[in-house]
Amino acid sequence: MTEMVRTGGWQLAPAAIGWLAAGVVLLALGLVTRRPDIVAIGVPLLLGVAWSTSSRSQRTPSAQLRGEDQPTGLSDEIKVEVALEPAELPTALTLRVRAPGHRPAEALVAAESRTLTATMRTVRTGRRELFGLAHRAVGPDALLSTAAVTDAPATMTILPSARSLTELPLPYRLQGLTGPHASRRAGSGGDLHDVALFTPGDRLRRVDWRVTARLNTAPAVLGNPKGAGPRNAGAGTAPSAGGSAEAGAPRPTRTISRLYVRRTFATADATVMLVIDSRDQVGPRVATWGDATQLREDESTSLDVARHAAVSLARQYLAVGDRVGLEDLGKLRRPAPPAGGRRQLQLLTQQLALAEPEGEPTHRQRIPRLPSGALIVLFSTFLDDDATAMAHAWRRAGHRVLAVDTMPRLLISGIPERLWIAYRIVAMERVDRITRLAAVGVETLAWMDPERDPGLELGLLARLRGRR
Amino acid sequence: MTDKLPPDGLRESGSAGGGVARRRRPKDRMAKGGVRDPALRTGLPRLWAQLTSWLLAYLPGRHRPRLPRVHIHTAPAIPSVVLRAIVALIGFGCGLMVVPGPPGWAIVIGLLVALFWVPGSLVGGALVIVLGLLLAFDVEPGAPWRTPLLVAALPLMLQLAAIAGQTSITARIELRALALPLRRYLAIQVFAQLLALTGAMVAGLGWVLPQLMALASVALLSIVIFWIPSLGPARSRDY
Repeated sequence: MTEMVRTGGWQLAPAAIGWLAAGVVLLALGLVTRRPDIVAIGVPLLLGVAWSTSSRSQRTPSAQLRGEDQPTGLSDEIKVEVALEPAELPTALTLRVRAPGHRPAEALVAAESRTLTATMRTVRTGRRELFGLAHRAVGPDALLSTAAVTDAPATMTILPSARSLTELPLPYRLQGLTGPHASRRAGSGGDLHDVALFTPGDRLRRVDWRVTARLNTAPAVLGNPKGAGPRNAGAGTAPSAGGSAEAGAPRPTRTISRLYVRRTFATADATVMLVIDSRDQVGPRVATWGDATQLREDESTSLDVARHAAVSLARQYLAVGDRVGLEDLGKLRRPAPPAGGRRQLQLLTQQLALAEPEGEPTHRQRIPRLPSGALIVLFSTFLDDDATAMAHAWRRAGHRVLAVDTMPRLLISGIPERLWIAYRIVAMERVDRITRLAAVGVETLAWMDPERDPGLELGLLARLRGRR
Repeated sequence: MTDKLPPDGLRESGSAGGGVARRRRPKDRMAKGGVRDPALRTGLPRLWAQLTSWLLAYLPGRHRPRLPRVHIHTAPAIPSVVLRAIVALIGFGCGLMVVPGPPGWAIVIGLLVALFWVPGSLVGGALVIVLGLLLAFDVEPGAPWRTPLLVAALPLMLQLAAIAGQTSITARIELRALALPLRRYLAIQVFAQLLALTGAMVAGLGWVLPQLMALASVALLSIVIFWIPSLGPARSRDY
């Protein structure tokens, strides 16, 4: 809390001059005309001015904004606290709170030690200057006031929200020996892979005693009198043991010479790299593409859509135990390495909220290197060739690449003809880029497509099972 | 990003928000190579374009939707416009008791309208002076309740106007913020009403002498100089 300023800032309001002038004139008029009723009207005005100027507070009350990072809620309401610090005498404060895309609000409040709340509505996310406060101390009877003090605007981070998703696509190659997904390799897992001979390194609890007993007691039936067993039958796997109890067969020996173990498919986890293209930000109204200051608070931009989509995917992948990392194409710095857990979700959410365009979009000379075998999810508007070229390169390197189009639903009705033609050119270029991506094997998805639900689209992509 | 052009043909600039292009200036409406935009060659379309752009720029229309307002959650409050209306109503009521005819009403209503829009200005004092002058020239004996009502209403009007003048017309004023000035108003009113009653009694007895009024003025000045300062806290006078 800022230290309160000393008196000295108190000034007589213009109304006080009016009080003084009216009091003096009426007093003189009453004396001249010998009218005590006129004197009685003027006297309270002089008394009021005298009382007000004689009992000034030595300190002035103050107010300060306290904004904290907060997620977007269902009501899209963003709150900020206004902490009031009183003076030693009862006074009042005139508060003026402003916010982008809103008309400012003003209130005259009693300067008491308390905290007020100011709210605005926005669907946009990210770190921005949201609230500004100007305040002015007012004397007890509004005849004194101080100069207005404008505080620095409160910079707040609005964290993106996430939608629920069920099935998500996995990379072509899973990694590790543990995780939520079944891989193609044999190992410690749940699903049966095969039955094989016991080899050094196998755990004893994996021995399948039924198969061991059956196969060790039927050498003659299997046509292998030398006892070579099923090891030589092919590929180290157990053959079928049917027919061992046929009538008239020689009584099998009870010697167990080989153990058989049940092998299972190993489990593995997926590595997912979210790549967000924060180099540009466009709104739904094409007319505002040339001037971001015209963006409204009730319209999500492409970057808001990208943040929302990325957080939704990250939350679902991390919920099932996968590892998720983040690369921001708008920033020349190392990507957030893939990791798992709730802490990683908080980290990614924070980094996504901080992703924003920084000056002129720069051309990246080098394709960002991402972990091998990772599923790459690219969030971009595809308004230029950079993101397309990177998706091409990653796909050529063997990654499974999912390109998510984050263009918001556009409002193009009523725009001038020249703007319409320009928009058509840009739209056709965008479609060409996305079509070229699909042609080279990059899976594409429009997050804000009004005709298709992205959750269902992701579920369909998840069923396109590739090699694991 | 060589081809990253927004669809309106403007190259993006690197200002805040990135991907932001500056607004096209009027002289930019030249095609490449300095050729005049064909759409602006003829006079009539050019005039029509300028007229429509001016109209859209200065008239509130569908292109500029009304923005929402920031909301400050305060204790129970009233809109400033209501307080201003109360001020104007009180002033109008006082005018009914004092103003004799249309010329006076023209001045008073003008001042009341001005007081509604700029209550924190000198207009309130000017209105009280005008009403006092009209009262002074009104030699007809008025109703007995006129003086107490005027003594109560005019300072109240000025007090509420001073409070309303500290905010804009769209502001909200906490009722708590009204409590303290109204307490002071009541304390002063006790003295003022006693003064009015005493004045009426003295006038009724025929004691209205200039010497007596001078004595009352001295007493009032004594109160202002010596008694009122003692109501406030001890304070340093070195500033």
